Amino acid sequence: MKTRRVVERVLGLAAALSVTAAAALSGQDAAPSPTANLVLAGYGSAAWGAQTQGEFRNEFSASISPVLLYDFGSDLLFESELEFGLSGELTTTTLEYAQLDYMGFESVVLVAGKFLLPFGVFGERIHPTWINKLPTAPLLYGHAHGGVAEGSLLPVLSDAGGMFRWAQPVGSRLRLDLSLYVTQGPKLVEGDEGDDGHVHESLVAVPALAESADATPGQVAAASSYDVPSVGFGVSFADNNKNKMFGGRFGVAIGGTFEAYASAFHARYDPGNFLDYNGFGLSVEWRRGPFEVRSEGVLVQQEFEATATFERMNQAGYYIQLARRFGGFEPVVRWDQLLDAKVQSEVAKTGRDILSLGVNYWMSPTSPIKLAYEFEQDQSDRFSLQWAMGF
Amino acid sequence: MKTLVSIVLAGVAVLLAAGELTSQTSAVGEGARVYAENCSRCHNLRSPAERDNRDWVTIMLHMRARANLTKSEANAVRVFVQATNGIGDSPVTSGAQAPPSGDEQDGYEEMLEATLAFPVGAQPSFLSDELVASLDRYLNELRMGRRFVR
Repeated sequence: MKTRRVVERVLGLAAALSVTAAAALSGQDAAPSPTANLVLAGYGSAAWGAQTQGEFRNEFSASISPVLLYDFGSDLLFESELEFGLSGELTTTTLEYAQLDYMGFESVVLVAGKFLLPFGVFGERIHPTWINKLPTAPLLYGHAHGGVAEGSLLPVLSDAGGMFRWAQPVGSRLRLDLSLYVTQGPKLVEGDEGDDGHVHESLVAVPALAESADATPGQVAAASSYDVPSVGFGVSFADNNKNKMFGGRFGVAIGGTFEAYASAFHARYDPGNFLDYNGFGLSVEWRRGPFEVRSEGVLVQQEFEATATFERMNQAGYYIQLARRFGGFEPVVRWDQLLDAKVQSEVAKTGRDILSLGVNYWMSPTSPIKLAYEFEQDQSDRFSLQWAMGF
Repeated sequence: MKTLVSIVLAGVAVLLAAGELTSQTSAVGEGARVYAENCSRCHNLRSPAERDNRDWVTIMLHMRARANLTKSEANAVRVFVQATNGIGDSPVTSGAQAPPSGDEQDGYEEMLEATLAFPVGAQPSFLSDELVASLDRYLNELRMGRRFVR
């Protein structure tokens, strides 16, 4: 009853507010001022992590990701995000995105530059530490700062190229959206490339494809007769072949309660333009009030040159995350699983699974304190505490 | 005759004003709906009072690209956020134009309940007691004719 009274009051106030707002707006052009404007936004975090079994290890970390937004009136925006973080003895810097957006159309946005790829949802929308409900990223998406999911399937994808984004409401509750992009694409990681001590996300070799020294730490490799090369995104802005990466994501959303996305990309990563690298993803989210369920699944396929033939390695993974807010507290549970990577029926690399239990305390709508404990088979349990803030 | 003409002209003026008011109110209501439905998919609703109105223009361009909103939707959210900024703190509601009903209403109730359930001192500013008092005062002034629709 108390809630209903509150809702009635808020809705009543909203109606009144609409009237007063209309009063305030009357005589005022709704179009934004054409004057350029610079906004500094972003997020930052401080964290402490420890492994709780075997040799006790613990470390502090911190990161800041300033987002710069600069608009030239209502149709043109430049936006970029830098990420500064600690990695071992170094402070690392990553350009997550730097893009120009043209928004002169009703349903279409055109993007050029380096941008977060709309593959799945986590990488593009959920990875900021104040939004992600756990200190770590899901195994599907590695993220170097503000929580590293070592041995993940894909890095948070960010690449240079062009993108077309379309959105269309259908009726009052349904909306559809589509994003299509072409980018430089992944590249074969050779020798000690990327081994400069900087472990920032764009240099993280795709671990599903790593059997060499470039393998992301923590990845457990099975005995395999295959030598599968490593592939990296954003290893450099110089493309290594004539082939580009093509991808897209189609989404359906119903009201504020349900959304589903299907994603795919295709690229070739070798200098000779022969070897395919494909990804397929499915993402679903359902929320009702303070309860939220989010799940994503990804399949990555990589061709490689074996003795006298071409082979294809497949690896799939998924996560499901449940969160429910009780006042300022929010318990979270996430189950991550990477299935074995297989070439034909042979296991090329064993999978992983992690159960993460966490509880968040929201100091404000943009500042959670996150406490989490991770269980992983054959690995030490891990404890982490992270304080994040969006600004 | 003059009286009749005056009455007709006054009526027309009232209708025109009402039309303008409805249009603006509709934009605010639509913005509230889009704000509540889309922004909360990824993150908690942020208070409009965090930024000034010019910054919200820039931020809504950013969010339009990130959240795949149409230009109209992004503009509606901007109008709503700007309209709710600077009045007391800043109220955030859903369904301001057309209050939801049935299951929808339950969903909104739960969302609002969750929003209201922040710990003391960390409650979103847009639902503060001061805001409610401010809006009540504003409403009273409107009813008593101390404020006018421009």
